[in-house]
Amino acid sequence: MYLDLIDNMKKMRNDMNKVFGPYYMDYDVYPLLNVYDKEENIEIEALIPGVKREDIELTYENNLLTIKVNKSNGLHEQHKYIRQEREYGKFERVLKINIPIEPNSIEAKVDNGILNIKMKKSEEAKPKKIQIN
Amino acid sequence: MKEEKILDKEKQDVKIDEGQFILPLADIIETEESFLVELEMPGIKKENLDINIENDILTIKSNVDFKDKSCLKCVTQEFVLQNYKRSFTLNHTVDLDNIKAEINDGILKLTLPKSERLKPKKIEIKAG
Repeated sequence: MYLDLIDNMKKMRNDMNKVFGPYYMDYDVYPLLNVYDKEENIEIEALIPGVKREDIELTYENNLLTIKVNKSNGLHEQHKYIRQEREYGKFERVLKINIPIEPNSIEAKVDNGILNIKMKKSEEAKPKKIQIN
Repeated sequence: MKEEKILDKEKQDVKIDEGQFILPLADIIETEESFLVELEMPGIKKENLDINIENDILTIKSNVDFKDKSCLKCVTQEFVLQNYKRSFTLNHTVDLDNIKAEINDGILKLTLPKSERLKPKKIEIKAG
């Protein structure tokens, strides 16, 4: 029953993908990410509309950044849904950061439904200008 | 859980078609007093949103300049931020004058109260 529901949801997303455009192009994972490789930092943006700060768990260990999100539909469980397009549940992504970073520099904030994670590259990973003699 | 290598994935090139809108995902919930519509609109603030009703059609539209948000330096790109637009046709069951809207954490919540004549009423019986 539960699996059926997820399959239906995926099919729905597949169908919707045709209508909803590029925002939902990668519908098998949650949350969707954009990753920036900047000169000094690695920056990750994740789409998490409706998720509260306390329902996000971030951990970094052995070059792996884990993002755990608990997306609940709040107080609506007892109410009647006429239409449900949003997806709820517990989601996780494990990201391999294969560029050396400073683990103590990792910062995260949530802004209007977008999670921003910023981490400083280690000295050795930063681009260097080489002097020509 | 499978590890994902996000830093050497090939970047998918997504073109932003200006003037094209994304349809925000919506949940519609019915309670005794009203209909609640919740729309996913990550990246949108109150000041970037227009909501209006014309000929019983409720339209929600955002107007953000996302140009500086483009993903030129991305190594992984799974989403594009674009403006949102969606319309709903309302019927006589909604009290148009008392619709409320608020946006928090990228979710727009609309409360559409049911019109008075739809709410349950108790009819008093007069003694004959």
